[in-house]
Amino acid sequence: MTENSTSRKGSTLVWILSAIIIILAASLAGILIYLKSQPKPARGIPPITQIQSLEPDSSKWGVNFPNQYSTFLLTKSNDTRTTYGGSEPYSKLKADPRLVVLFAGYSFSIDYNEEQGHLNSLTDVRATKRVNEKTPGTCYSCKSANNPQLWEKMGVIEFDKTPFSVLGMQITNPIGCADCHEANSMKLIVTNPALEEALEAQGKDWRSFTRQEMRTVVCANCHVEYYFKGDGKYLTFPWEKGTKIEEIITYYDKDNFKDWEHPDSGAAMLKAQHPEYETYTADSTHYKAGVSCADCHMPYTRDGAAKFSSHNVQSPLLETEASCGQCHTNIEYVVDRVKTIQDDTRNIMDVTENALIAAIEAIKTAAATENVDLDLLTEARGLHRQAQMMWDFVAAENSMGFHNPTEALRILAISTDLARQAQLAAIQAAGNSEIESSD
Amino acid sequence: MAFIAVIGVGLVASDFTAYLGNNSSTCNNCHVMDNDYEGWYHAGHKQWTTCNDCHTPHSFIPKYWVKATSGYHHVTTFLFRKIPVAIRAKESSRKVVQKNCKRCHETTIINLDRGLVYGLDDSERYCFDCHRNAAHGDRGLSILPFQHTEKNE
Repeated sequence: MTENSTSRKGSTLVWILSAIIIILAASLAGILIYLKSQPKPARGIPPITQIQSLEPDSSKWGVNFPNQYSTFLLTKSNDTRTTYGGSEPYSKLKADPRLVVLFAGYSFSIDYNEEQGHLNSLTDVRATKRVNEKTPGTCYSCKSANNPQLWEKMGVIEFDKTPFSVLGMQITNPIGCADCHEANSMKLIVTNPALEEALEAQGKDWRSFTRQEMRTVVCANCHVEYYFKGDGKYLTFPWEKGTKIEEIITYYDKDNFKDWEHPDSGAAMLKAQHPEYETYTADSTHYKAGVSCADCHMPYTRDGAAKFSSHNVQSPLLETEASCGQCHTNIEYVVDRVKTIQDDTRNIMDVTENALIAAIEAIKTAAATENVDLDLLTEARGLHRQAQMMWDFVAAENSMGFHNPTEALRILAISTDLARQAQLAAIQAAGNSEIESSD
Repeated sequence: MAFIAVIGVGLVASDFTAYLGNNSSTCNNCHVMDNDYEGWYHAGHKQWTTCNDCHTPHSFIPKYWVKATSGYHHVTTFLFRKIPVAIRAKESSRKVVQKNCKRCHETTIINLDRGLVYGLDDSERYCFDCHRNAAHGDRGLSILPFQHTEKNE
């Protein structure tokens, strides 16, 4: 009797428990099936069209992103000149005639204008007198949204080997969406193979970078120091040893590379391009605080109720409220700091340029002297090469020192010293008695 | 023991553990947070604060109490489709944020409390009654058709 009732009780309990478990499992499965059958909710604003991978025509992307695209269109006409830059295509040679002496014998002494906004990239590269019939296709590497597609289709080696004029027939779009964005996901990506290779050489993979890092790294698709390697004119960033100017010069020295030979000093010269990325990331104060290029040059703006990153890439000095005001409360004060930093850099750069010209003249005079000490003359030429590349690393960089004030002044100080050493070595090579008696 | 293991595995597998951490992308799992997330991402506070730095208390027990209660609130609102058109902070949430403003900006506030700049009545007001754009920038919509996270995914 007792045994019977216990076993009956036990079996009832098992039945009840099993029922609960089955009901719970069924409802769980039901919920999962219900959730799975729900339409996938669109995130944010649904896109109007699908963009083909590597689509070179930015106006097609613009259908989905009217705000970004309409601000991007402003880069065609945003030609305001700031104190030391901006986007007005004024002649740098007229603004500072010393450049004609410093770049003598090189195309930069003939035509060297301030660059305009992104949408003018093709007009500008086709108008410059620096381009001639021998110019390789490599020069288009940073000028067009056709590039990612062409690189995939014909390969980088072929792209760079093709003459500028021939390659130009396939290039119809200026810089655009496809240069920085992956279609549809709109993720920021590295598109320039030279950047990918340069990062690889340093053991870095951009695919592991954060969104904030990418907001600086995509600018390095173009705003960097580069050269055309070998006979194939293969686009290469000289970053193997590092991105500081000393490391870059060491790289070039090892490669025995020269851009041209200076006709007055006879030195094998290097020309710096536009090392904004290298300068900014050399531990500048804004970089160390986690600020990206886009934070200042493409500030987050509002149009009606919509908020987006302005694609009218320009000098932050033209929109200080949006660019500086996100972090700094006293805008008048910080803009005044920019002026102080840029004025200082310009003044020191004047000193450096005078020293470089003195060095060039001294070497020229020494070389024309009879019985010149050839060892000392070679040394003087080597010093001129190094000094001018260091100066140019600051001069060709588009911020008049602001991207990294301490680094700019550090480089200019060393450059001035090297230029004066070059001058001294040249005077000694010529056997100037005055110098010798003074030591 | 087995029960705890099953629960533990379940929590990790369902990514529930993400909700115990401080990553701002986690708060942006829900679409309704897109605007707030993007606003914060592009504003000056991003360099120093995550969502939790302002929106949850900082001592251990109050922090997880707030996470638990607001988590419960968010889940039920979501499940029963009771999401308000305009999401506004509750009074208790506003108190949490206010405490956190003070936590970092204490030295600035010392002056205010002495009435050097503001009147005595103002000491009862919230910082963000006036400084509305401080953490999320201007009010507005993120017009992106996709979710961004701190990782470039």
